[in-house]
Amino acid sequence: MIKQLPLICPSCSHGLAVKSLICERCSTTIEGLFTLPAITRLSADEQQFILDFVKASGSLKEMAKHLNLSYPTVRNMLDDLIKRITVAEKSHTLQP
Amino acid sequence: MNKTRQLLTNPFVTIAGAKALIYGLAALVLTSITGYFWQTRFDGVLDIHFGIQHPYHIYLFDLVISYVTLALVLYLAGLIFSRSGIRMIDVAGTVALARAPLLLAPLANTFSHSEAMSEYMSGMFAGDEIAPPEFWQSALFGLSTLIIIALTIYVIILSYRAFSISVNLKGNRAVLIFIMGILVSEVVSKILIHNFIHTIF
Repeated sequence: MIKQLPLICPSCSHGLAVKSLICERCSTTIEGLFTLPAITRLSADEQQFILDFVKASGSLKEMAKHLNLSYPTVRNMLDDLIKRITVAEKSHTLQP
Repeated sequence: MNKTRQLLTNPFVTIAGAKALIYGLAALVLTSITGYFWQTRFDGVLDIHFGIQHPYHIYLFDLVISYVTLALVLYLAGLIFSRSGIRMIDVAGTVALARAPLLLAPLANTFSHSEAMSEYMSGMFAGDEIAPPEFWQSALFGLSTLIIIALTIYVIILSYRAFSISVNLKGNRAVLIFIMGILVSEVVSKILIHNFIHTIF
């Protein structure tokens, strides 16, 4: 089972940050305060969309074929994603 | 949402562009043929009228002018209000496909008894004493009117979805822009049909 990365604090609904990272081989742990990149704050479907889009060489026509959706539907998904990333980036810079 | 339901309520999620335009234009030509055979004119973006027989090209040009006007007005609205890179082919295609259900409207005239109703009503207004139509004639006329109203509402809903997807506008703002677009194109198409078609033909 792939665990989903929690992004929002269940207590106060604020965006979560990374406190520690661990090496899976030697168990070295690094602690600090690391903000998540904007892309990781998107949903799994949105991240998949970005991966597919890159694999399709950024072609919306290819994406439409791959997803079996119309061209404007895919373009709208991309536009919505751009808006979400812009918001995520803004909230990142606003974080203390 | 299953495929059939999506095809009936919002086909533009999967069909747009040239494919939608081909289907839509094919439906438009078929609508003009059924309109000719069952004397149903579409002389405006929102107009469906049963009436007397006209030459075939009148039925075709009614539909072409109404469709082109609506597609152009909605495309211009999209250019003005949308921030997305919209394509004319998407607006033209989806709007054409949205009007495909109009194909069924002339069928309602096969049982509407609109001639009898029309004669009775014009007689009433002229003050002539004309026997009222039979109950079943009035009932069928009422049923055909309900079918026409339902089809008109269905086409308006589909046209809104076509507009929303092809220009990427959503919510109240999109509804308001669409209503304005429909009203403008209704007025423009009416003017064009009454001044252009009737002058040329």
